[in-house]
Amino acid sequence: MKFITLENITEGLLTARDIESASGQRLVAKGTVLTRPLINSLKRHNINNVYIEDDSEQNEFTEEEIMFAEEMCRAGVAERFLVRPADPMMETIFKTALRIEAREHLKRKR
Amino acid sequence: MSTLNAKDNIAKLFSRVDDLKTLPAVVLQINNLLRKEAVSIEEVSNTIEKDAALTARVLKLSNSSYYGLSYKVNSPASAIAILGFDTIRNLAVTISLTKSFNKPGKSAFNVKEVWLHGLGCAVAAKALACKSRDLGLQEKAFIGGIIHDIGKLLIFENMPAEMDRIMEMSSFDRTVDYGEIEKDVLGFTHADVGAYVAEKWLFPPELTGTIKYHHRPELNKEDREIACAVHAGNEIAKALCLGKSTFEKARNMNPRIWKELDLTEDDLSGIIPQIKMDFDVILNSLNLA
Repeated sequence: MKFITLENITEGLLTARDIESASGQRLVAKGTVLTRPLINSLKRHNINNVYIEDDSEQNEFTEEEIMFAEEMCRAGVAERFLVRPADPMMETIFKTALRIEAREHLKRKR
Repeated sequence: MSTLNAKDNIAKLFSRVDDLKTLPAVVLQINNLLRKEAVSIEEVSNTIEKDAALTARVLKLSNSSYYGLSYKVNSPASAIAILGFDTIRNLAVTISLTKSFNKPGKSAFNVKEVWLHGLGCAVAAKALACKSRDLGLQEKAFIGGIIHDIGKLLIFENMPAEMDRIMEMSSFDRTVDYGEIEKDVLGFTHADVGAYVAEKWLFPPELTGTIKYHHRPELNKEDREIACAVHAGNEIAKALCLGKSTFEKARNMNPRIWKELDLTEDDLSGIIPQIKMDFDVILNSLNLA
C-alpha cells in the first residue's frame, strides 16, 4: 500500500482504502479504480492524497523471513534512536523503520 | 549570549568568507523573481536555461518517478507549468547545493552525509505536510528540510577547528543538546546560521522561523504547521538513516506535533515507506546513490 499525492497521479490505480471527505462522508470505496473524472472530483473535495494498492513488494519475502531479518536488524535500528519510543506514534516510526531495514537486509542478501 | 550578539557573531562569520559560494547566482535570481507580485513562466524558465547543466538536471528530476508525471516534460517552461514555480525553484536549489556539498568526508564531520540528511529531511517534511490545506506548504516544507542543517555545513567549511571541538564534545555525551554545545563554543547555533542564510538567500520569510526553531517548533508561533513538518521530517530522516546528521539521534517528539500535522499511526505506516522510496529515487536522479 502506498500513500501518494493526487497531483499528476496516473489513472487506473486501485484505492487501498475508503476515501472520506473532511466531514467523514465516504466518497470512494476501497478497491475502486481511479479514473480521471474521479480524481478531479476528489480534488474538488480538497482530497490531496490517497492510499493505493501497490503489489510490488507484497510477495517478495515471506512474513517469517521478514520477522527473522527484523530480529537481526533490531539493535542497529534501535541505535538510531536516542531513547526508547515513548508513545504509539514513535513506536510506529520505530516499527516501520525496522521493517524497511529488514527488507533492505533481505534484498542485499539475495 | 543575547540574540543581538548571536546575530553579530553570525555576521562576522560571513564577513570572513569571500563569497557565499554555496548558492549560485541563478538560484538567487529565481528567488528574486518569485518575490515579484506577478512573474511569468518565461522569466523563470529563461533564468534556468542560462545554465545548461542545471536545466538538464531539473528536467531529469521532473521526469523521475518522484513526481509521477504521466507524460515527459522537455523544457523548464513546461516543467514549471505542470509542477509549479515553487517545485522547480526547489529542484534548482537542491541541484545547486548538491554540487557544493557532494564531497567525500575526511574528518569526523562528513559533508556528504550531512547534506544527504538534509535531502532526507526535505523529502520527509514534504510527505508529512500532505494533509495541509495550504497547497503551497508541502514545497515550503521541502525547502525547509533542505536548508535546515545548512548552518552545520557552513560552520564546518568556515570554522573547522570550532566544528572539531563541537563534534568532540558532542561525542562524549550524546544526551547533551547539540545546540547547547554550539552556543558554548560559537555563541550561536547552526539553526541561527540557517535562519540568517534563509533570509540572505531570499527564501520565503516563513522559512526563517522554521529553520531557527526546527528543534523547538513550539516556539514558532506564526508558522507552526511548516515548523512541525520540518521538525518531524528531521527526526524521521534520522530514524530511517537517510544520510547522517552529525551524531544526533532520533528523539521522541511532542504528540502535539502530530495533531498539528493531522497524522495518525496509520498515516505514518503508509507515509514512511514512501519517504524511503522517494529518497532513493531522488538519490538516483542526482547520481548520489
